[in-house]
Amino acid sequence: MAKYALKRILLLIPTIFLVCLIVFVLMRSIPGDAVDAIVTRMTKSGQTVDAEAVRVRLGLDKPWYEQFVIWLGQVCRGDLGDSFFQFQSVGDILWRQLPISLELGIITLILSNLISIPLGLFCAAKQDSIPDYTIRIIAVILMSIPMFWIATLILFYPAQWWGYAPPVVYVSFWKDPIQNLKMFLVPGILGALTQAGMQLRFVRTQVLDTLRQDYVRTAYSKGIKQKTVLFRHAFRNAMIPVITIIGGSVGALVGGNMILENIFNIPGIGTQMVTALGQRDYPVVQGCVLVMTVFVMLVNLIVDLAYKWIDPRVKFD
Amino acid sequence: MAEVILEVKHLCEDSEMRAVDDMSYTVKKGECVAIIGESGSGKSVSALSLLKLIPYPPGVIKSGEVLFKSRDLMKLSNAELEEIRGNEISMIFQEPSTALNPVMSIGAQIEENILRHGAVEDKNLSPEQRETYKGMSIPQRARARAAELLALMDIPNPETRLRDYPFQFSGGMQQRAMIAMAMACNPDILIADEPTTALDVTVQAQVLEQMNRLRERFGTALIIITHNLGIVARYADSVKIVYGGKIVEDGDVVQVFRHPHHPYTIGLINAVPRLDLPPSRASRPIWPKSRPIPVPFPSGAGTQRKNAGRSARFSQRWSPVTPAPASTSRRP
Repeated sequence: MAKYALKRILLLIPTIFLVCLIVFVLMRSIPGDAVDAIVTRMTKSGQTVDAEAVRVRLGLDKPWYEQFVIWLGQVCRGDLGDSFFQFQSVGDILWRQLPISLELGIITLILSNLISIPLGLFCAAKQDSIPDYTIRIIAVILMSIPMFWIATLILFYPAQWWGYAPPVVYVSFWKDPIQNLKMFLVPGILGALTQAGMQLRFVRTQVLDTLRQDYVRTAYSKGIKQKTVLFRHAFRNAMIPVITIIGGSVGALVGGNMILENIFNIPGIGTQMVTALGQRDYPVVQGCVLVMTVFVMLVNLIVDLAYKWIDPRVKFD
Repeated sequence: MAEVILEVKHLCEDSEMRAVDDMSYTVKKGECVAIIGESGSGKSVSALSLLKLIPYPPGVIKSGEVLFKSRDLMKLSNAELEEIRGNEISMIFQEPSTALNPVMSIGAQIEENILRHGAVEDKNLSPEQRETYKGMSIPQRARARAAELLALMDIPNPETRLRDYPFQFSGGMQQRAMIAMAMACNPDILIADEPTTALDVTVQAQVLEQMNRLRERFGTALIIITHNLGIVARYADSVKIVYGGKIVEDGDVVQVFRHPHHPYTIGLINAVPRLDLPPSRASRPIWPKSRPIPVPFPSGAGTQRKNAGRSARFSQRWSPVTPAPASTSRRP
């Protein structure tokens, strides 16, 4: 298993290289660049600047492949470069904002699993009953309504009716956990509900599928009670495909909540990405994408390794 | 004559079709009963019906009684049936590779049955067993008993094999583990639903030999559902031929095989290739027709008139040879 893990980690390198290359080229092929933005901004504030000097200063005068090699060299030395606009290194920005996104992601993940797995099991056990139908319909509604719309409503109506709105100033969890959770809970629940709708239906289908398997009949033929059969025999087998889905969502969580972060003014990596993209802040975008890629791939690796723990048939070679 | 342990009376099962139609038979203590029929004839469903293990919905036991120890299994509550399943009547299934839970160790699956029915609690042990298990906790006893069962089924290194998962066992070993599991509580009746279909011939023989040995040793009655006439001729005491959800011929093995009466039985016996006859004589007329499809006969004057001649001839020729009450007509 260690050998397999090592092999997978080594395989990360070419993938990451490719992702970086694509992002690097794509960023530079978007019309308009950082130099224009800086010149416009400085001219507005009454300064005269030489566009060419800025270009040289940012290293953008060289051909793209040379820039790429230079950037790659920096990354290999652990330096993700400096932001064009924020007077900060990309490393510092990520260090500050990645935990915020992770917190939101983890809250979403925990809530969505807490909702979807028990309810999915319940629906499968009570197949085609009224509660089953009700939960399934709610799940479809949650899946189909765009999250940003609900998010807007949630910001708007409570504020109008009760004068309540989630806090918009970020406070670190370690400084004031309650204030921090107050800010994260609403977007966390929203993200979780959308995720849970899909996941619940998936869990239900998987459990129903395993309940039809021969070994479940065997368990009943031994006189095992329905609840025990459900938890001991059906659940674990049903979880094998569910883990894949959960793994996929974990990967998406770091970067996937751009919309929620923006709506609720959470200074996470998603917000950062959107701003940086608008400003053509190449190093920040590249750094964010690099970190997300590594994270997604590591999570996938962990999920693959987790199969072994849940399914003894899995072999690594 | 040994006492009758199970009595099935007029059992009918309905789902989208009537798979079991008015079946009646008895099983005596320690007897080996074979239920033979082709695929789809209702033999498996009839076995599953005995313990109400048919998938519901859509399967429903329409009518009939299954008397076991003077109780009608069909009238018992689910909880009462659970006490009997795996304890007094247990089952083994056709495909051992799918009938065992792939993510649970063999040991855990056998112990589950032992613990469920408290087979290793003091009150359920014989004096000598009580001596062997002295000073052991219940889980330890269950583990020891599971190893004992695997050893009984000739699986080498039972203690270490208990920790294995089904995929680490060969097909024959999986089926033997299934039997060990089914025998864990010394049941009175073991229902084997095509126990050897998925196994190759030599392994089939071993598995059957072992089942037969267990039957002789523990006096367990055996209901074997199969379409393998070789098995029947070798092990069964009595045989029931099932055709279209009905028992069409019922009797002592020798008598049925020597003097088959029902056309289906004759066809069935003729279908077995004979190696002891010259090729010209070995090929005998085999069963020419497909089985009657067990759906209710369509109602309506038109269809009745159209089929009247055929169904009359059919029911005349194909009615069960053992006395059985008349039932609804069906498409030939």
